[in-house]
Amino acid sequence: MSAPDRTPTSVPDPAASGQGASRRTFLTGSAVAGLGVAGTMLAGCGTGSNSGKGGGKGGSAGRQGKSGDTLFIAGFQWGNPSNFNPLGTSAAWPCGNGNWQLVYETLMRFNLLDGSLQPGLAKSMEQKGDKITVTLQKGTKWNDGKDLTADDVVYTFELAKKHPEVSYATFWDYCSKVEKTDASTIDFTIDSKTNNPGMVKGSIAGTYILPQHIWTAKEAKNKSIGNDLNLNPVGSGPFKIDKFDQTQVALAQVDNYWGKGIWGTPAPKYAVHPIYKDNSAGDVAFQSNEVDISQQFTPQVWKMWEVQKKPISTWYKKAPYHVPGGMPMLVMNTTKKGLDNPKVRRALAYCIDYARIAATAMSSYSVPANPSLILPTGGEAKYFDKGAVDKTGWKHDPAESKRILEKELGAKKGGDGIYVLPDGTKLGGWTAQCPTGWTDWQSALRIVADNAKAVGIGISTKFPQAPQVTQSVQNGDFDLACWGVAGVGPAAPWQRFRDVLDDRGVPAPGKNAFYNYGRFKDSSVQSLLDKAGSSTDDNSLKSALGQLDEIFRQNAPMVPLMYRPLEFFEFNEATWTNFPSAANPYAPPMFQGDGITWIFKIKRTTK
Amino acid sequence: MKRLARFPGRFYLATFLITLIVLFGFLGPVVFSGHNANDVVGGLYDHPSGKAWLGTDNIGHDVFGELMYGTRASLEIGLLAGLLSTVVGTIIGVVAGYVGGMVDEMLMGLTNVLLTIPPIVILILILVSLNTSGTLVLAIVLASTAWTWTARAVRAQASSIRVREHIDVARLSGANTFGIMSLDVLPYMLSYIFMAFVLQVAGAILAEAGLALLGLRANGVSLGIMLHWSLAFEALRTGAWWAFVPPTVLLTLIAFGLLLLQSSLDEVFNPRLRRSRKVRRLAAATLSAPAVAPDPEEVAVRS
Amino acid sequence: MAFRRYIAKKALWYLLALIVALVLNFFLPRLVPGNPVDSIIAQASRSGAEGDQLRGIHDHYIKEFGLNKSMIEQFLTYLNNLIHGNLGLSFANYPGTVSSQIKQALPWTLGLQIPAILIGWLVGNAVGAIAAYKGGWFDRSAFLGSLFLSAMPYYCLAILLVYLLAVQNSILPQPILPASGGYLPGTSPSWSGAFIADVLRHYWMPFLSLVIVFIGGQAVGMRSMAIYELGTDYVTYGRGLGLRDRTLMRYIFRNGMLPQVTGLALSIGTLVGGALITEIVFSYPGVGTLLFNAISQNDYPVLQAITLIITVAVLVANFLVDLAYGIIDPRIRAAQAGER
Repeated sequence: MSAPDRTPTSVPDPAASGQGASRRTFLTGSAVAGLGVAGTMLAGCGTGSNSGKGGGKGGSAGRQGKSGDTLFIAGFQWGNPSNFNPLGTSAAWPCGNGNWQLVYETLMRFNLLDGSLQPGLAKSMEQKGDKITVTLQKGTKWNDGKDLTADDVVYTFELAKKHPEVSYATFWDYCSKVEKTDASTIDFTIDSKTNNPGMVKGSIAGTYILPQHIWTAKEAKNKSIGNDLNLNPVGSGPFKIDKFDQTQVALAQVDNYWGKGIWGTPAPKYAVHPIYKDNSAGDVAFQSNEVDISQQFTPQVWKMWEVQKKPISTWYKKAPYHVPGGMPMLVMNTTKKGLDNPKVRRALAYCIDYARIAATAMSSYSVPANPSLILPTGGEAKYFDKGAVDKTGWKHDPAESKRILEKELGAKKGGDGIYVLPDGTKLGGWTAQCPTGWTDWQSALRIVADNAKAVGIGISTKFPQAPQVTQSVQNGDFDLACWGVAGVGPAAPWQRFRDVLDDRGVPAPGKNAFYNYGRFKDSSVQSLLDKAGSSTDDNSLKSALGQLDEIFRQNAPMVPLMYRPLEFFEFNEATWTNFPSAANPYAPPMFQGDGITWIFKIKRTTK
Repeated sequence: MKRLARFPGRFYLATFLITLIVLFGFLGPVVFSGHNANDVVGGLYDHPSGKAWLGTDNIGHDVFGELMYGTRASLEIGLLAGLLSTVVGTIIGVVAGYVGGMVDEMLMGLTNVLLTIPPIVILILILVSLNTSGTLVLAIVLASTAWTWTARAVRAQASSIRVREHIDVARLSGANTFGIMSLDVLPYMLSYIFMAFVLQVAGAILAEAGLALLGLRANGVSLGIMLHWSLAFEALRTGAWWAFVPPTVLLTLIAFGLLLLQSSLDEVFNPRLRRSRKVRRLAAATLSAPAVAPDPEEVAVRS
Repeated sequence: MAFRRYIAKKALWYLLALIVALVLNFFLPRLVPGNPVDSIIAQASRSGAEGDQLRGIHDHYIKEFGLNKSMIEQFLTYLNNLIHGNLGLSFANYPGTVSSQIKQALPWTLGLQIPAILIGWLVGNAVGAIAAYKGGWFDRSAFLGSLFLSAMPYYCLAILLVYLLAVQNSILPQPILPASGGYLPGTSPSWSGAFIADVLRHYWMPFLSLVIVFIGGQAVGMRSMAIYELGTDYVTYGRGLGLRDRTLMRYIFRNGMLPQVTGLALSIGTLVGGALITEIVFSYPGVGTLLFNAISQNDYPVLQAITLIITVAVLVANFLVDLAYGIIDPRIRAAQAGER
């Protein structure tokens, strides 16, 4: 139940693999959640027909037998798994691009703790001038025994040139050439016009490499490559699809993973993602030791260990529990009368109670959001300028909000308690929307509406189904909305600034935009963005980003409402232990990217 | 109407219950003016306390305040939708039953067709596409699917009254159709229509709560919306009983009070449902409307 | 002759109802703003990073699903497919078929509803009849209790049941029943003993929440009917003739049952759509849950198929009831054939 599972804040969305609606999980069955009761079959049992009785008697007893060899995961897959095609739009877990690299792998892997790119299929990546050279690891192999070579890499990226419906086709806006220099080396040439190495690196770290010998046949067979079901995916990762149906996706370890020599062998022999109908069902299973690690938004997760005494934990043992990875935005339509005035937008920004949003809507998983497009933590922390943020940014201050409205704008309250600008524009009658079922976002918007009303700005909320919101936000047919922008990633924070400020490629309302939904325009943005995108040293990047952040604060085209983790990372150590955490930070709290490393390090508690 | 003196005990119980609920919904906000639906009195699911008598909801609102305003909202929607569907149903029923013939065939054909399509499906579709939560609009939507069974029931009554002598007398004395329908047919069914109205109110309140529970109305304040959020933020798992028990209890009491009122009125107006033999003998002469038991359509509305 | 005319007339009306329902079925879902391709786009779009090919995907699927054709054309295609028994492909689970999804969901709904309706009907009628017969305090308390249960919104009952029985709370150190789903996620339906046992454990909650409310409603109805019959002339007359109470009661219940049987037939007709909210609240893998998911994804083909099935079931049940009445009671036949 909630946006979490479906965060559009992260560049490669872990939820990408989930299928649509169900993540909405709308009606929480919370009510209603399947509970593994002591002494009954445990979830895992499904994987094997016999599966055996779980030893779980509540408390912290782990699972035995085959289900004890299995890692159970929740929070990525919501609907029926219908295909495993990473080039399609609804690949099931874990085959959607940007998902957990259990089956398919990327060249480099993003680590959100320090923002670095770690080796994956490639052992190194170097940039010299306009060339990025990637060198493959030794002995990379597909799971069918064939070698994984530079040809496969070139083929994978070329696919997006031939098939514009492929999700990473914009890669070619930023890269002009991909060439193999020998069997294990590939050169990427940065496009001179856009000149943005970050976006190229983002694709290098975000694109699954596909086997040419399998996909050329698929290309011949399908009109559109995204339509292939790919039900028997051949990848290079440590797992393969064992079986799947409407209740689960079950993976089994491959026999001879090429990376054994580098990372070892994953501790679990099997990995199973049971498909729950909604967050509550998954949460209760998690609480009952039926799920080992969960990516679900779980309100008050701490009650699971503080009250229910379960061996459950998150990255931090206390608030905010998770590492920030993105910032859902209050997007304002700058083409609407009233909202086109930056002072009105700033007045609105001043009235919002960020601390309350963090404490209630986000269940304390966020610190109050700062008026900055740069995350104050992790790899972006070095660009975050606290002095400037405090000096020119907004904070929760309804008095200041009223002051701006009355003193700077000369607005007067009408009979209904809503301000009216001197030109007669009423600061009200606006709706703020986000998809129904994305409960944390919905709650945040309810608080925004509360706050605005208290000051004298009239906002009501509405929560249509996700497709409707997507349509009206992209189409510019909205007043205010809660929506995502790029989260942490190799191309952030540049990509986030682009998403918020850049009006290039953004059509007027009526046609779909895919970023800058509020149609904000500022003449000084473009050159600064280009400068930031092409800068090669931290200092010039920091200064360009600082100037952009200042433009953002002066104009407030969007307002960060809270921080969310890239992926929620909640683990139950009844059966598996040694998950990474702040106290034991050997791997980042993620599934995608470099998160793959912890699956080689966790340990089984039972025999 | 002189015989109405004998009200069964459950009539008083029902009246007492409903009065209490109405007072809570409409007078409560005045008496407890310190408690408003949008008052922020704490954090995420704070326990009940001296300040928040029933704790807080998932965004720190005062549950007690929400409960009062939610009750009021549920009653308002119920009354409005109940009134609308009763008026529409009665008009169509009386016209069909009294005029008869082709008009009857057409109107009842339409009614029967609409009766076959499950209201919940239509309600969900309409609400998804309207995406509005205004009381009036919602009431109209609810009424648009609920009037049918009132129409069918009223039509049966009207067509039985149609053949009575006093109607012939009126007709012979030159009264026009509209006059006869409103002066000679309708008054004989008022008690019956009122009971149908009570059921319509109950049905509308429960339908609204069900739809709100599904998240189709997650804006504003109502008992169903309270339930929706308590489920959405997993109050059951975290043990925040104060978030879902109060609206559950109130919804049940409202529906129970209304059904009880209807069934006790049924006994008054329809003495054959009473056990006393004396009354039964008296009743033989009076009109014999069948019991307005909760009928299948009514149950379907709530499904 | 009259009977045949009666049947023909009825059949005509039901045919008309079916046509209206088909039209509504097709056009109502399409009134919902947004289209199914948007939900696919919603999944595909990540923070706007992929603007151009989102457009490519958009155009591709619009064509694929025939959404670029006119409404009338789409409607005719739909009718044509329907005549050939083809319910089409699901948009949201493309390229899965609608029939396969419904085939998966229908048994769960039927399995939940039919026992709940039958048991609720039997127990409810027994309680109502006994209450009417016995009278006194038993009647009063049974009546009030039944009325209370029938007034209780079953989703409220469901919530309370889940809280009391299915989550760890102050009363229960461990939950005793699973609160949602039809079976443990991760297991696959099969005829193994373990799976059936698991299904039964998951069955209790939704079943109880339905059957308790249903018992209440039936009991109230039956009691009214029986008391009503108790007051009819034939009973008074029979009493006067000195018939034994037992004999009289038999007549009374036989007559009182008639509307109850009708109610049963009708509720079996509505059973597919009847437990929509129950299924959703309990995440039960039946038609109701499928329907709700389809609505939120604008999955027209699935939506249409389900509403069609529900409507046809109701129409058939109504028609059978009319047919039965026509056979049982010539007066009804005459009255409804317009021979007033």
